[in-house]
Amino acid sequence: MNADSEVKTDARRLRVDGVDVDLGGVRILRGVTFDVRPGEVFGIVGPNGAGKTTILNVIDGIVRPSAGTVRYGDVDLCRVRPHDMRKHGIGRSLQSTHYFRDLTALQLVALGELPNSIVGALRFAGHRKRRKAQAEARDKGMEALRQFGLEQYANRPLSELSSAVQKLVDIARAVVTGGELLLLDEPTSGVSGHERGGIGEALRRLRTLGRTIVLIDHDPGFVTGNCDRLMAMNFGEVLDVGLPDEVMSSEAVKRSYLGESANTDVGIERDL
Amino acid sequence: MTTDAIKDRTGAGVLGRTLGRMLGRQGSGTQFVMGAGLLAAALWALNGGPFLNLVGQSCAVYAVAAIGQSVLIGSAGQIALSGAAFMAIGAFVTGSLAGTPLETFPFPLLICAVVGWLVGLLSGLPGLRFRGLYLLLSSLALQFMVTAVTKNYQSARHPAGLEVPPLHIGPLDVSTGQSFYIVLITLLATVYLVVALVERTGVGLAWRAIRESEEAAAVSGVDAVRWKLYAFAMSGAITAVAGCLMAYLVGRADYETYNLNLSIALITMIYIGGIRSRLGALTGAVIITALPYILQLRLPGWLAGLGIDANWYTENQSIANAGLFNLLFLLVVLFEPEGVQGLLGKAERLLRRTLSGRRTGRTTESPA
Repeated sequence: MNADSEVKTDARRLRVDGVDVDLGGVRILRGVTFDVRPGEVFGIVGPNGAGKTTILNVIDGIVRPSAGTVRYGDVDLCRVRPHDMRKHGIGRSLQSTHYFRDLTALQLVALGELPNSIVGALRFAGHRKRRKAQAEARDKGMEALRQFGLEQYANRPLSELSSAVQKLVDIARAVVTGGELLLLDEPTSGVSGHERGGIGEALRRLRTLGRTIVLIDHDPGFVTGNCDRLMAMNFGEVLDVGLPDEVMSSEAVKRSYLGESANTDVGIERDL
Repeated sequence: MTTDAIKDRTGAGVLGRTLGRMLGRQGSGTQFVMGAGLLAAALWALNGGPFLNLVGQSCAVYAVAAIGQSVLIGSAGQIALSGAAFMAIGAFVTGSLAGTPLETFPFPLLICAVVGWLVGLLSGLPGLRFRGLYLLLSSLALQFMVTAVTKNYQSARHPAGLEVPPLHIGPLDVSTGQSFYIVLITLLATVYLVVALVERTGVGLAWRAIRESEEAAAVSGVDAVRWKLYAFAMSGAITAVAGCLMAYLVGRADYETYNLNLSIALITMIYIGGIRSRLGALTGAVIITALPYILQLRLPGWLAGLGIDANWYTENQSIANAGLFNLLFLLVVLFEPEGVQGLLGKAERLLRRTLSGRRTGRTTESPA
């Protein structure tokens, strides 16, 4: 574990530069370049299969790019393993929250506080120390749940909760694990229209707390309404980056959403 | 900390909440019944004479192996059919230590644990790349490799199997009967406690997260690679220890004992008892180990009572039992994937519902 991993500097900028991703011979991302300024909400929109989630996977270290760089401040994120992202203040929520059915909301939120080495686990082995560590993890988890008004769900298994609450719990987990830079993957997917308000509200609260957020959603309305800058993409390429209204009114973006033979215009064979 | 009505109920003191959870939690009754049943069976076997001692000894050895398998398959959610290979490693390490200065008791056990740990770690490396069927195939490859190596070693050096000296602890002969049984039960309890302790340090939660989704676990800050490898290593170490004990039980190490059928039997044990817990592994091990003895003793009598000739069964016992276990396994997977523990859990839920129905209706929370 390198020493600088514990150091957190403020006002870090996320730079994604010329990222290509090939998976199984298929090019998922092609020359994706953008940067996210500290404290802004950066939205990414695009039709299904545009590569939105893959971008988050690249930032988060789950997918390694075949070319290009990802830097957060002065850290090369391509060399950080996914579970270490939290040390750099990066948290990630997931598109599907159906992964952890057995765990309770509190357990999920506190996962990041678990020991990650035998030595760390041994520190937990002493009865009193474990109590203390567990109490700390629980407090931290409860604090995160409380931020989102979720404390009444703390001890219920995730599978019993509604999908909107699951999403909020997952966002709370991302906030606990990371904090500074949040990667939110489709926070409204599977959530009914009337419950989206709660998620939008959580987003606005995170924004006022000065978190940097990369927001992906299949619903362009939700993203444009909640972001400072917007990036539109299709077929693994960036179509446009800029202010939300400008981007949404650009010709290429309209075409990609209305499906007007966009593939021939952009010039990439349909990948997925 | 300020508390309003809601916070008071959920954010109460740690002690009160833990106590309340222990008593009120669904599943605690099931655990109590299973634990008490196992304890009663263990005591019964202790005082039931030489034959029951022998059955109890086998049960204890297989229970250790079942715990080893349940760490990997139940807790960490990996898939492997190499339990018998690790038992063979334990047995052969013990056998080849015989006659060396290291044959004094705790050493073979410790060396088996270390060797099992290392081989387990190695066997986990494919698990970093493969999942599901491919991981299963790589574990099968290990099973056949170990069988081939032990077979060749045995036929070259010890055609009748590697002899293992009777177990002595210091000057005490504890190789047979009650004393051997007590040693085995003590070791089983130790293994059980060690695993329980390890899981309580948070490793158990990490394994559960990995079992459900490795990627999501990694994203949540769990070092999936590391804990997965440790699950393989720990499972290997415990299963190899079981192999060592098996060698002491039988008095020799013979490669024929540790075939694929044994691997399957170990998996059957943890599924029948309840894949999710150590207690389930113990229960399954006792059921699968004791069942052949019961059938052997009682079944011919029952069949004769029904006017059926039992000769076929007595002549083809091992095949018939294997078929029976596979059938049991199939039934469990089809109808009660959580095994005995799942069945008892359902009964408990029913009981709790009936009891709480008599009191006031439960308050339900509406989603925000």
